[in-house]
Amino acid sequence: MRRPILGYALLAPFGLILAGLLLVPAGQFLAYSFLSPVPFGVRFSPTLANYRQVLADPSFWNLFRNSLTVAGMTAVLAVPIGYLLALHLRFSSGRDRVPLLMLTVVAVLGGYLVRLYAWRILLGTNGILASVLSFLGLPLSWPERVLFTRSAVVIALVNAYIPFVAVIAYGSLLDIGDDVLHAARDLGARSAGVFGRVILPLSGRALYGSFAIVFLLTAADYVTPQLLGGAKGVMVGVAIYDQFVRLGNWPLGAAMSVVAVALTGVLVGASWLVLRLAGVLRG
Amino acid sequence: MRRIPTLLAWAIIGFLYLPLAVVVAFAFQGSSRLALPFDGPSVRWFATAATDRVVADALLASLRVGLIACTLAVPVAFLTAYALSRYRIRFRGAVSGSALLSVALPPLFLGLSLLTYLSSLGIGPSLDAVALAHAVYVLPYALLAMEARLEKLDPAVEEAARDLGAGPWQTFARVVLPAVWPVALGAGALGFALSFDEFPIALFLAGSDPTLPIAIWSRLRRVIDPSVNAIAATLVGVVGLGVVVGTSLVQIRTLLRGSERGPGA
Repeated sequence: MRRPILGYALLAPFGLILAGLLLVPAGQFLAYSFLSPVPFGVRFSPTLANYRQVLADPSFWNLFRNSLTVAGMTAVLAVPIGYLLALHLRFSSGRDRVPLLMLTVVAVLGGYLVRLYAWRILLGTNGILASVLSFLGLPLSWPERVLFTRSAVVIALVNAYIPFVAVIAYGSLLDIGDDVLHAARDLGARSAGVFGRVILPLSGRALYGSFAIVFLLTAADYVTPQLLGGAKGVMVGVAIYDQFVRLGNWPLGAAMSVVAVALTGVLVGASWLVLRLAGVLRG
Repeated sequence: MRRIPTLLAWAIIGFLYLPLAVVVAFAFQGSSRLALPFDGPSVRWFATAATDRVVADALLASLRVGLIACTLAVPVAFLTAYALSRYRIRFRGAVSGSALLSVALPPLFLGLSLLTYLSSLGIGPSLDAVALAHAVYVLPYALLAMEARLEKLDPAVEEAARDLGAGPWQTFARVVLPAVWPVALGAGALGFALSFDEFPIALFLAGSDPTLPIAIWSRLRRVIDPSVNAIAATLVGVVGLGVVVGTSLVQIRTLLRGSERGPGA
């Protein structure tokens, strides 16, 4: 360890980028929610009117409830599926482990918009799923009924976030050493016991963490509902997007964002507290 | 019994890749129908896209944004990781944790806060604004890769070089750089792929010069245009290549361990 002054100097570019492009803009964004609107801008007269307007607007609460429902459904579906994949990646002895891991990692990082668009081809009228189902002699029309509804949004988001969960869960499963598992076996635990008493409790934090991140990120998604949600699947992110891009009321949009983020954060924090007190989550 | 988990894992992977496979398959569709039956393979939509001025400009825009973002993010990530691993830094955890803010913050807010901030500085939406935003977006991944590499590089080697009379620059050029550059290249490739694929932040900041994902987006909202599939397939190809090159240089395992330290985890 050497002279710390030089160390701090080396950190300066990082601090500059973080402060200049993340913290200060976020702070200003927060401040905007307390200012008065001019078209696509703000006027410097502080007010709480934006918050009053947001809190009294039933359509905001409607959209926010939609967002929470979609986020909750997505997280509830994506976390167990992603965890199953992670368990296989960590504990399988098969030769397909490495290609599966590679495919999972590539799936996390690529094709956000392309995948959303693909669901239109898959689900649409005369879409591929409908064709395949009718070819198989199953005259099921659910794919066509699903497109432009909340279900389509959830399907696409679950698809996008499974690899994300799998990677986070796999990282935590790597930290459970083989010695721990051998010890459990030597002490007489069967497979189910090893899983229920050792593996699952030790991956609790990662599972909760991935649940929270998936929930927070999907609750604020504004692209998926625009492409796949139709009129029935609108979410609060779309309304915020509209305030900034189409309607040009920045302070109102900023206030909507702050309320939505704060409430989502409080929900996630409260769920953590409940799980912690119930003894499900440790340390 | 052994077979079931394997089948399940491949089924999940199949579900993950189903949308990408569909888009790539339809990029080679012969007719302009976005439905079965499939008549191809044909490269006519790639030819259509290749002669499209807007697509060519968008491709160049995305290349430029990705290159600027990585040129900024990777050296900064190196300096940061070096300082964190070699110097006594207070609040070390807070520093490396704060980089992850941009991963946990929804892109909607990252994009909007930068849009309003830059416009208050008189900087309108532009490709340079997108590049700056992408530098922030890519930085945590580059930092994780660099931290993992420098943790494994024994500081004693550098001290030995100094004891043998090498100056600080010489030590950097002869000892640190050779050990670090493959990871820097890998982080660059990964970061480039991330930037090339990134859409929700860029949409707010790009203004009148679309990046490739934005060009796809604006076509999706107009009439059905089958050349979108060819453009999307090209995008997927570039991103996939970047990720494969990146992860093979960065060492997947160290990155995964790092990701577990993510926010909330």
